[in-house]
Amino acid sequence: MENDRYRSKLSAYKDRELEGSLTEEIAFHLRDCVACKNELAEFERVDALVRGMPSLEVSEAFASQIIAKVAVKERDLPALAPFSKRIFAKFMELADSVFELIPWHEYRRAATLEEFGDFPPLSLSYAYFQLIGK
Amino acid sequence: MNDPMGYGGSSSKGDSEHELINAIGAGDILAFEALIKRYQEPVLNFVFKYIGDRFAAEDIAQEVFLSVYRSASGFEPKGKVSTWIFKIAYNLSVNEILHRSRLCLINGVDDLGFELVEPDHTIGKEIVEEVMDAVRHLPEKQRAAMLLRVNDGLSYAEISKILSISISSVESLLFRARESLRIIMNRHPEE
Repeated sequence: MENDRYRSKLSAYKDRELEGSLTEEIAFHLRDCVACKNELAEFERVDALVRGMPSLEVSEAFASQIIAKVAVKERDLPALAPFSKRIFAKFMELADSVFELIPWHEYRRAATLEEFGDFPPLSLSYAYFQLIGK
Repeated sequence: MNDPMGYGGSSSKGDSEHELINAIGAGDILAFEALIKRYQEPVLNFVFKYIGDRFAAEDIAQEVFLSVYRSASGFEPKGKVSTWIFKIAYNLSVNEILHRSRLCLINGVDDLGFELVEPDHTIGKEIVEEVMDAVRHLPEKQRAAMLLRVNDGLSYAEISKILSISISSVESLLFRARESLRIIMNRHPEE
């Protein structure tokens, strides 16, 4: 019975996480109890095995990769700040992509300047269509 | 307290870490780099040993530090920096495990790529693999408590904050974890 009571505390005893009085009680108990002494030794061995598990070596670029990610995020942050601008930018991106899908070349047809002949000869529109007509 | 990695340390070290976090909160990249260098190895290895996947471990460890950077300005100086960082690492690792369990990606201990550092050459390869496998199959909180205590030397109070449980629960988790591992270890009495 006493063994069971102390046994469940051996792990915390090993870690020096028990209150002073209980630590002393267990230390006293361990003088005579071979089973608890063995269990404590086995816990030490378990810890040694866990500490002996292979570790990963940190790559030299580890810190610089994180800092680069921070730099990228900070650079992008001002552009991202106003929500309305972000929405507008997304809308424009979408509009662009839709615009690019339209086969404009199929709609292109030969247009003669005569079609636009109703512009007054000295107007800007007349001059413009003169230019593009060349 | 046993503190092999020296996170707990003296109060002056704690103060200097708080200063580091304040500087990071103000956007000081050099302070951030210093913090990464201090914690990169324990964080990477905690995540690796916790989730058992070395490829994902590096991504998660990087995400831990990015998260530290993002939330440094909101850090409350009453807590330890190491506890805070390990809590982030633990939470992200748990998220990864949940994500994987949804995708049914849980495997055994992976054995791909990366160079591993084997600190103790007196331990046989067979038992090392068996211990790794046994650790991986411990219930999640037992596994986290065991790694944080044995590998990172955190106190029960710190572990309780990281896992959001009571100190007596930490005690119980560690006892059960050690019991389970002891039974496995006893299959190799000659080691």
